[in-house]
Amino acid sequence: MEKGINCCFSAMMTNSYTFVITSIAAFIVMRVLYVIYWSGKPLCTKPAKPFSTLIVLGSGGHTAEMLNLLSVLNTDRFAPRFYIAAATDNMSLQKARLFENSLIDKVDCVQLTGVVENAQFMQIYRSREVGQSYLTSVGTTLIAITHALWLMIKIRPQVIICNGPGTCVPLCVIAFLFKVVGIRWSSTFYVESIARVKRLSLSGSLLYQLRMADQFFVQWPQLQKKYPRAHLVGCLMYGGGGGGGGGGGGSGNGNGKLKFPPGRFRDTAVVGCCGCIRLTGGRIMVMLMVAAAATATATSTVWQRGEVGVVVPIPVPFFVKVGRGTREVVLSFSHEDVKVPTRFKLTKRYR
Amino acid sequence: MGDTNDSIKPERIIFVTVGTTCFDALVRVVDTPEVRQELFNKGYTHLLIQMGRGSYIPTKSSGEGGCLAADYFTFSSSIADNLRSASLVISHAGSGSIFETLKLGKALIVVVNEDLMDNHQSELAEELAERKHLFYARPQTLLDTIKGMTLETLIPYHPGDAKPVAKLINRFLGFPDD
Repeated sequence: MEKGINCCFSAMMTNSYTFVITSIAAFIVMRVLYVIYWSGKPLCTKPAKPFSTLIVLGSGGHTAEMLNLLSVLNTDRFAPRFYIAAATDNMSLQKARLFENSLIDKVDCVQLTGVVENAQFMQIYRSREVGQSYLTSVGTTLIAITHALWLMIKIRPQVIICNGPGTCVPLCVIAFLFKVVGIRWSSTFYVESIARVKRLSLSGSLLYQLRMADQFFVQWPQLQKKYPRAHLVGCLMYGGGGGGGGGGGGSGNGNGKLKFPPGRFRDTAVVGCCGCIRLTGGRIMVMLMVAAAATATATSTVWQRGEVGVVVPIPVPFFVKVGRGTREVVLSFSHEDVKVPTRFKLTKRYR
Repeated sequence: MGDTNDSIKPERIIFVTVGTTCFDALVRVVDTPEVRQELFNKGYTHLLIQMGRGSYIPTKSSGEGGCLAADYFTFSSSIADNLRSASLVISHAGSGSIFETLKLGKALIVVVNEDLMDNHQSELAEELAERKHLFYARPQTLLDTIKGMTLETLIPYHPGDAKPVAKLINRFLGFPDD
């Protein structure tokens, strides 16, 4: 008799457990489907406030394309802006700082402090290094996801814009989970790099297949045919911007465009320079990366700011050499036959 | 495309750039007498090589006695100036170099580095070559490309802009168009 009751009771318990688990699972599935359904749809409410925006930067060309896009977006609508780049990537955040500083120059100097707070810069562990095998990248991706989760909890962005680096995948996955759990509704925009003509990058195809990007942009018609949910937007690059390379050799000032105090720069060589120097509102900002010639890796970066009297509408890439302890560099450069002599002062040092 | 006023300005420069990469195969092939002679026959007078991190040192030449004047350097403070002064650019397949050259409206031969493992950049060069914005070559085929090329067939590249993306993003979020 007692045994029968026990048996019956345990059967009921098992049943109710199954019921609870099934209903939770059903609820989660419904919620995921609901989120997926609404993800691709434009927001219906008129935005009252600017959106907090996460911008994922990648190396080289990726960042140039991203900043190109940001320069045509109305940045008042996307604030505050959080820039995230890989921890191994020193250049991209500096370029972003440069871009943000150029925005400050557009605004009156009175508002200067407020604008600075509109942008934050962060670094994240990479999920996959260039050339790393897809198998080992599973493990590193897990570490990256944990770190990304921490950053995302802090930021909780409403808009995510990314264009290709592996770092954006964990961030977008977490943003999607935030939508499912109900922490924060966000819109993710993915722009595939111009270098991808025939097939998407790994991160691009992941986000496309998982439907984690609300809007997916490609720059070539071949890709749009292959991935019909993507929007074809044509080429984002206006040329330049990408910033080539430099440094190492020492024939840098052979063309006589750059002038330095002699004898100071023997032990340094420039390994790279931001490709998107901006001259806005009569001001110029230049970023320099300085490294020892022997190792050719960036050990310190230096910001320079100065004023010029001529506004040049498009970026002028160039390289300069700076030595340790140098307080001032005099350089002049030409752009479309306009010579702009400039005197810079080193104002800030990073790293 | 290219310089048309070579009767007025006799100096016609070929600029070879490998960016920050190591691309000895390209430097080596432009150093061969066959390529140099072909370029000279095409009316070019100067060859300037930016050799990057490569270890192969090309030969210099003063350009006397019916041959191409040649010089090289590793890195420059301002590749933009070199591009601007060139009549023909021979470049690696980096998107930065490609778009910078195309923006200046210069004739461009992109040589793909086949030693690179993840070589998706050749996709971009191939596509732009199909659209006749540039010539596409491998180090082994560069000589044939130079022999066969007619700069008049190149179509000028019109720089793109990011406005369509911005428009779509704004619409999606419910912002009015600017």
